[in-house]
Amino acid sequence: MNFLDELTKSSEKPKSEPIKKEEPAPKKEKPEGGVAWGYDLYPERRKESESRFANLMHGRDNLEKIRCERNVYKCIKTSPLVKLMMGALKSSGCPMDIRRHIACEECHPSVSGGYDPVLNQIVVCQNMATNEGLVQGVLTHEMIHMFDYCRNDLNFKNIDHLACTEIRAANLAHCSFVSAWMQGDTSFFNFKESHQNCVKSKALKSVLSVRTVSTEEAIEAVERVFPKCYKDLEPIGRRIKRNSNDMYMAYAEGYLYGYDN
Amino acid sequence: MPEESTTNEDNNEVPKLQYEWMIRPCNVYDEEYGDCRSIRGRLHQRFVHGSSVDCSQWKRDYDNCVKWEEKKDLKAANELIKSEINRRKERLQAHIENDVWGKRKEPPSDWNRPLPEEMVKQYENTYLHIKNQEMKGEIPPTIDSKCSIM
Repeated sequence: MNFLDELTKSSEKPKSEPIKKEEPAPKKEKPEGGVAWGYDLYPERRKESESRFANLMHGRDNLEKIRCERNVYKCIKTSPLVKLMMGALKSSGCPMDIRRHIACEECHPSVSGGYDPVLNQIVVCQNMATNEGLVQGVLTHEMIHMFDYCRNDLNFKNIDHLACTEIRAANLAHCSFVSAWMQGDTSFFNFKESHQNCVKSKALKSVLSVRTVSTEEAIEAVERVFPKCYKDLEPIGRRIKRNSNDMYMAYAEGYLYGYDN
Repeated sequence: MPEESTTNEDNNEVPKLQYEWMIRPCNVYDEEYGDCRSIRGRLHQRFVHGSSVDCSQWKRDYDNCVKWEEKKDLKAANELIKSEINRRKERLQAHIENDVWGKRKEPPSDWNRPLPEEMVKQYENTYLHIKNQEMKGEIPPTIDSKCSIM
C-alpha cells in the first residue's frame, strides 16, 4: 500500500528536521493510575509553579485569552460548520455550554487545540489559534470528537475508537488538496484518490500525539478501522472544499437530519 | 412512503403532501448541480473518489422542484420526495454501518459534570462567561463593539 510504504521508509532513515507535533514536552504527570495518558500538552491545567519572569508576561496572556474567547464567540455565532455541529450535538441530547465545554488556554506550541475527555472540554490554544479561521478549524475538529462521544460508546483508551474518531475528524475538517499537497500526501502525479493518504497520515499523527503507542500499532489501528470510518460523514455530510460554499450548503441541509436548534 | 391527503374536495386548494418539508428551495438543487459539474467539483471528486460522480440526479430534482413550485405538479413532487428520502438513506447508511463502536441508548451521564472549583472561579469574569449568560438570557445583551461614541 502506498501509504504504508512511505511510512516504513521514513522510519528507517532519521529525518533531518523534526515534523511539527512530534516534539513532545516532558511528561509531568501520569493520571489514571500510572498508565501514561499522553504527553503534557496542556501545562496550565497541571498548575505549574511560575517563575518571576513568567509573572511579568501575564498581561499578554490575558490579552491573548480575551482575543481567543472573542474568536470562539464569533465562530459560534457566524460559522456554519460550528453552528451545524452545535445543532447536531444539541439534538443528540448533548447541548454545548460555551463556558463549560470550551476553554481558551496556553498550550505547547506543537498543538493548536485539543479535546480533554477527562473533563469533557475543548481546549483552544490561545497562543496558536490566533484568528477566527484557525479557531473555527479547532472547534469543528474537536466537536466531531464530542459528537462521537455523545452518540457512541466511545472509549478514548481503545485505540480503534481513537483512530476512528481521528479519521473522521481529519476527513471532515481537514485535508483539502492544498494542505494534502503541502504535507506531501498528494501531488499532481498521484492525485487520484490521494485524499485517503492525507486523512490516514493526519489521523496517525493525531493518534500518536495523544497516546503512547508504537508507530506500528497506530498504523495498524488506523488501517483496521479506515474503511468504515472514512465513509461515515455525519453530521456534516460532505467533505468540505476550502473557500467554497460547501459549508453553507452543509448547514442548509442539516434540518433534513434533525441537526437544527 | 410519501402520501397525499387533500384536506377538502375543492380543486383549487393546494394538495397537502406529508413530506413536503423535505423539498428544499429550488435554487439549492441548481447550486448543487452546478457545483457537482464545476471544474473545482470534478477535481475534488477525482481527488476523493478517483473518478467523476454522476450529477444528473440533482438536475432531475431541480426540474421536479420547479414543476412543483410553478404548477403544483404532484407527480414531480412525489418523485422529488422519493429522491430526497433515497439521498438521506444513502448518507446515513455508512453512519449506521459504522460498528467500530456501539451506539448509545442515551447521552453520556457525565456530559455536564461540574468542573473543579478552581476552574469555575477562574472563569467567573471571563468574556465567554458573560456571553454565555447573555445567550441563556440571564443578563441583558451588551453591545460588543470597540467603538465609543464621543
